[in-house]
Amino acid sequence: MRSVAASGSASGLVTVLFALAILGGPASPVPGQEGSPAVTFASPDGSRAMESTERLSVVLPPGTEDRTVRVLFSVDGRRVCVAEAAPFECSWDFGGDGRARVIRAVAELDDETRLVARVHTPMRMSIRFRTSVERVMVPAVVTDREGRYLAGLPVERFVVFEDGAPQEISYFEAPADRSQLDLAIAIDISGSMAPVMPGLKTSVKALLASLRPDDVVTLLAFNQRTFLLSRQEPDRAHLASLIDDLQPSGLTSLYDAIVRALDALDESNPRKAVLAFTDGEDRSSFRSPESVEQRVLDTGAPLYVVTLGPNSETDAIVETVGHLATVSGGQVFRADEPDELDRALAVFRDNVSNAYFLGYSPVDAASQEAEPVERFRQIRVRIRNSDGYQVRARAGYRR
Amino acid sequence: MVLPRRSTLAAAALATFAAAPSAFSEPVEGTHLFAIEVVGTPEGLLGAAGVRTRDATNAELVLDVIEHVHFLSRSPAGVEFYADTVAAFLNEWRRARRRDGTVSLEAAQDDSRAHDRLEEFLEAAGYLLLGNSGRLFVRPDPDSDAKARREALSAAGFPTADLDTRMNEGEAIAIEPRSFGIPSPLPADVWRDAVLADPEPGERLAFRLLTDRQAAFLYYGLLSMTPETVQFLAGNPRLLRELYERDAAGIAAYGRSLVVVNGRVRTPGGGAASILWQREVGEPIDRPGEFFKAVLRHDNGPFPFLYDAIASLDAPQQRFALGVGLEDRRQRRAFSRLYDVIAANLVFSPGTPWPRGFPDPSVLLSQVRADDSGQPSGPAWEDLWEAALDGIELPQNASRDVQRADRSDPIEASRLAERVFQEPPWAAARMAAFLLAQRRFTDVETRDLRHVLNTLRGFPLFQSLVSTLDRMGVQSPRTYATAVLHAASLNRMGEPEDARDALSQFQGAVALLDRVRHVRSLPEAAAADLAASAAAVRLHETRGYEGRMAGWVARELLPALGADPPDGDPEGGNFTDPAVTPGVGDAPAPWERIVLRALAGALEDEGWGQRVTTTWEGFSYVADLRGATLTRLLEAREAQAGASLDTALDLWAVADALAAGPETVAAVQGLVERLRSVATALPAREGPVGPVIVSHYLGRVYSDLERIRGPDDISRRAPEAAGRLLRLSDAVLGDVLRALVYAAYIGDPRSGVLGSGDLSVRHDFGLEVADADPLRATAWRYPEARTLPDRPWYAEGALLGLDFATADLRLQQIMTDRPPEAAPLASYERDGLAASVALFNPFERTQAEIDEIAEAVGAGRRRLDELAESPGDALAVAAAAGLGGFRRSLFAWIASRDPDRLGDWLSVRELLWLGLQEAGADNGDSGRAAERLAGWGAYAGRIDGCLCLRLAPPQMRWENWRGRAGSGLVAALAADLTLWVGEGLAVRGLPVSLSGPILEVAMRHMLDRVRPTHVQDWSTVLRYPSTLGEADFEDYVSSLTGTDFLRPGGDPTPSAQGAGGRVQRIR
Repeated sequence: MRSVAASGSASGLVTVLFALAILGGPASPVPGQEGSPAVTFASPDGSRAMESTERLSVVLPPGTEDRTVRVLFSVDGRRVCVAEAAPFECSWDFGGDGRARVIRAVAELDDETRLVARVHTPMRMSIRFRTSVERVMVPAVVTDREGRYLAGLPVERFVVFEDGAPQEISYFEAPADRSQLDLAIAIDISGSMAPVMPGLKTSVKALLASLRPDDVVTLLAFNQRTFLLSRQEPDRAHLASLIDDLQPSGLTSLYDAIVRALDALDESNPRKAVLAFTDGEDRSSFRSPESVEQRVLDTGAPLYVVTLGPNSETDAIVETVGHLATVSGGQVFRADEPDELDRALAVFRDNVSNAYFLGYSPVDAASQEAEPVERFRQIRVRIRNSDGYQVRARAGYRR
Repeated sequence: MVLPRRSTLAAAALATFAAAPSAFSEPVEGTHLFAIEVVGTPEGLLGAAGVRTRDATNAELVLDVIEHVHFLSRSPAGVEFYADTVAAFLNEWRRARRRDGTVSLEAAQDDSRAHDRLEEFLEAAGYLLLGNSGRLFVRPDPDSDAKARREALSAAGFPTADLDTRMNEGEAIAIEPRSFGIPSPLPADVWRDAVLADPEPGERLAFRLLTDRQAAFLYYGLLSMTPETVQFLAGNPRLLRELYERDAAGIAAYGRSLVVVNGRVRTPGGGAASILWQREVGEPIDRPGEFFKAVLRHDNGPFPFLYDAIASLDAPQQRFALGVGLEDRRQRRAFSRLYDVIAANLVFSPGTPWPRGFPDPSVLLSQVRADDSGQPSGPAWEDLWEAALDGIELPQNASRDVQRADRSDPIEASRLAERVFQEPPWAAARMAAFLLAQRRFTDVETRDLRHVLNTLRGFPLFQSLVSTLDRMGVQSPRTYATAVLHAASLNRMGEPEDARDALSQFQGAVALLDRVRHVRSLPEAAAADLAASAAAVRLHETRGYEGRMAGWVARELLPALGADPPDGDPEGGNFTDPAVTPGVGDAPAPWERIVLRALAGALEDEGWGQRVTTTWEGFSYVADLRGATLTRLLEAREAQAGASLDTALDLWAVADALAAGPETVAAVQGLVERLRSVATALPAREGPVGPVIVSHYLGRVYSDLERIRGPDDISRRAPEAAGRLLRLSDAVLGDVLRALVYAAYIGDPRSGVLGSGDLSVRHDFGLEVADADPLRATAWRYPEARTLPDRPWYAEGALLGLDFATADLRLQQIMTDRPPEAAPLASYERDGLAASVALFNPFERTQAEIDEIAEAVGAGRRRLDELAESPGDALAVAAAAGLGGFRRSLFAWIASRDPDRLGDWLSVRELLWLGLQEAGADNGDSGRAAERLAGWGAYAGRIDGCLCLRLAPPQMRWENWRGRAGSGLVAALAADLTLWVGEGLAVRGLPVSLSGPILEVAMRHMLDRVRPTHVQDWSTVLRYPSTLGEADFEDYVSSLTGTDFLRPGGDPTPSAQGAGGRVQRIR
């Protein structure tokens, strides 16, 4: 059994959209460039509100394409991507809030000329209806008594419980049917990472090379701040060059980075995961572990963390982050020695490759609507007729 | 062949290197400097010295090399290896080359002599000459030294990287040695003959100057001297040699202050002080050589430091420091005492020019305001300062301690320094207290001296409080003293929880007053009056405020902000702008809304408060500082999810009514109903006033009240219930005020800082560590951001001055897709630079100010352009820009050799001063301009303790703070980015209200990008804004177009000025 439609995690909202062009305007060249050839936006054109992933592209003036070194795109003043080769375009996830946006592109030519284009997109007027049906997605990895992966179990063997009540599985994706993986990799670039960084770069690039061609990777680097280096990027060579450029400095804000990584995942794709690398305890996050746990539970993506060391903080990290990983259905790996890193990544790869995805609509969803207080709802996955099978799955969600 | 480390062969090779003449005895045109050639390239030299980054064409590269070789790594080995490699290579090349000037394999194939010479040449280049079946070929030598030689030669500009390939392909190799000139204060022959007494030829000289520690120090010091002084020394070869041998480190550090004019020493303090100096030095000023040696050798440390420190002061400060005007014996005694204080507090390493400690008495002397006669301004009476600097506890009887103090003489500089530095841990705070008195108590009346004393004694203990009142513009000593005494009572509260609630209320109240004054919602005088009344609210040392601070909020603060008191109709507040910001949940409750609007700034007919239209890149925008600030506040409060001010006041109103004694049981029941209603609005989030605490208090209150069944029960039970409810009301109000202060200073809530809720609940006054902090000093210290393992971000310290702790959070990152390279700025410098943005007040800046800045900076640039035509004016122009010492010399060098670079080489602040001087502004009185444009200055609190910005006058140079790396002092001078933003707005016709938000973006970008070459390389930091371009400014402005600071809309008025446009006011 395989369902076609896949909603997000526990959110379960259907949004009806009405675009209302209030502030939008067509893309136009910038005054002051009158003497220069004009660059204009091909997409978006300013006629509608931006939501979810949209393509950003420009039309370069005749004769400038070969001279264009790169095009910088920014949304609401924040640079979101840099296109360094024709056709000079990229994608960006605008999220779902439907705000009016100011989108700007700067084409930098080889003579240091900058051609600027700008487009305003309108605000979306939205009316949201809460649906009576929602689907909860549960990634699950099953191993036998010896720790071997069991990848061929049929849906009939699975039983999902929510707060002890069995649920009807309405979505099932076996490892063999594996769809595109949306993987967010967050790399600690704090100053203390310097000794392990060369080895880490090599291993992460090897991991990227081993993913399926249609898998996409969101790459983040973090110290006390988080940098979104790429989003849903399929180009391995580009990712590798971004990794090569990383330089260690600063402190460690692991929790903030985890949340940012979760935010960057595609909500509509059930097969997603976060893989974080760090060597030290969180020292500068704004997020508390509790708020991160809530976000992890909301997202439903398994969290994997690799601790690099050894150092005096490894035990503490494993303890604090281990809980987050466990409730998400993920895992923490210790890589105290360099060769353990590749072993950890091999296990991670196996976990991802052998994961099932189960979806169900809670039988008491209607009553959930009526509950005024949000609370944790425990999920348990059991395998029928199993002989000591182990299941690692999302521990629950809050609603 | 093993290459010698310092081969005579190498020297000989350089001796015969004919690319340049051996010496230059004439100065470079338009300067007093001589050019000395260095073989190789600037990049190669910098790399050999380990200088990480630097524009290799910069005139300061020699100083960078000296800094690295002698101050940082303390090893010349890299440069020596580079020099020896280059020299040996050139020597072997000269021996191996044929008549046509080339070397090749073919020529060596059948000629054993040519073969040997080629082999040696290749070895010097890091290659091996090998043979195979009678055929010669070249291969890179795998030896690590050989590899290093290849790299050094490539860096030196020799085409040797692919020597093997080219020769193996049969190419005949020609070598064209490269060289470049460096500025020298002495001609090459003087260095060679007089200083070094070394027969080595001129081309070797440059490397010798860089690698010989004494020569490097002497070079450094001579470059800092005036041309006349250097000329005097150059004419005294024996003296030069002596200075080289014995005094080089002293010359490097203090050479700038050794000045010869007309053959005599010009001593610090002018003619009136020359007798004193001659007496102390023991040499007459008409024998400069002997005088200088005596200064430098006086005690091998403190004396030349003192001489140099006084020379760096302005004239009035010099008179104060030297006691000019004092009776002779008293002056000598004072000088001796000043010397002792300097000696006792100087961090100093014999034989090296630097480092220095911080603070030291010279910093105090440099900040004191004195009149032309040398008398310090403000309340300078010695008896007052003897009392003020006596201990760190508040005086028992302030009136008695200052009785007749105003009849005493002004305190002498030496005594002031002695008292300030008698307890080093408190020295910075005492220094700040003295400067506060100079700022605020200039015209103090005798009857207020006791208040002044209480304030000054309380300053070290309650610095954040006193400084906040100072920032608010409070003038009255009584207000300061009342606040200090109130703070002392808060410190006497026993239970940490009670102290936290009370501190949150008092500090929160003062912080809010500070903010509403800052954004001009309240005039200075009104804010000062309210601060005085808040400090007068009665505090019980065990029961706290018992609702009295809530009463102050309701009866004094809210009416002052334009609201009717809460006793009236809560919907009847004086709202004139009912708009609810789109996208921000429900409108806040009425009283809170009044406070938030006040925190966002006043509506004004003129100035920043206007919403104005402007055009940018062809679109019309509304620039709305107030609206954007209000949006941030509303979003922050929503994310905090705490109680509202209205809830806190409602709770207090019930408690107050209960405490007043309801007359009937029905009235009590009515209050219970009100309380239950209020309680539903109390948030369930965790924090100091979390659900457990709330339900604990409320449960007991309900229990008390439910037992009131008859009139007799009221008098017995109501007071107890009221007491509990007042405690809860205090706690909730403290929570709310603390959260409001955080909302005001947290910056952009959308940046993610409020991702896990309310940061204010994490605020730590440091009350839990009684043993470590018996004075509860932490609770009154400027707050700092803390990052500890596994504890999320929090601020520790006072609530006052929270803008410091959140300064970094407020900087906005526009490049989120690439991490910056490692930032080498010391944390103090980073914090100081961020603090300058935090303290910048766009609400007070005016269009006239940016017009003046743009005009002056533009005039400065034009003067530089003119200088290209007349480089002989360079020293005068440098002086007008405020340059001194070696920077003045280098300026002249660049003006002569590379005038196009001058614009980048000066900082924006220097361009401003140059322009103002050119325009004859204020008759050359830089102090007036510095005061007028102070709001565009930099945070100098590390020096003066003030929560304010200062535009450093031209004579305040970073060289004055040299040796104090990591002290944060550079930030005190770094007004350049702020000025750059002001200039940029003016020339593009953009509204001044954008200055603050643009700075938030520009400073983050600067901190991510600026790359000083070493910890002392402050000039790169200060000059960074000069290197920014049009594209940077465009990016910064454009980053605001997605925010409410520059909202799309308004009347699309076409721009008359390119990308910008004149502002148009919206009514």
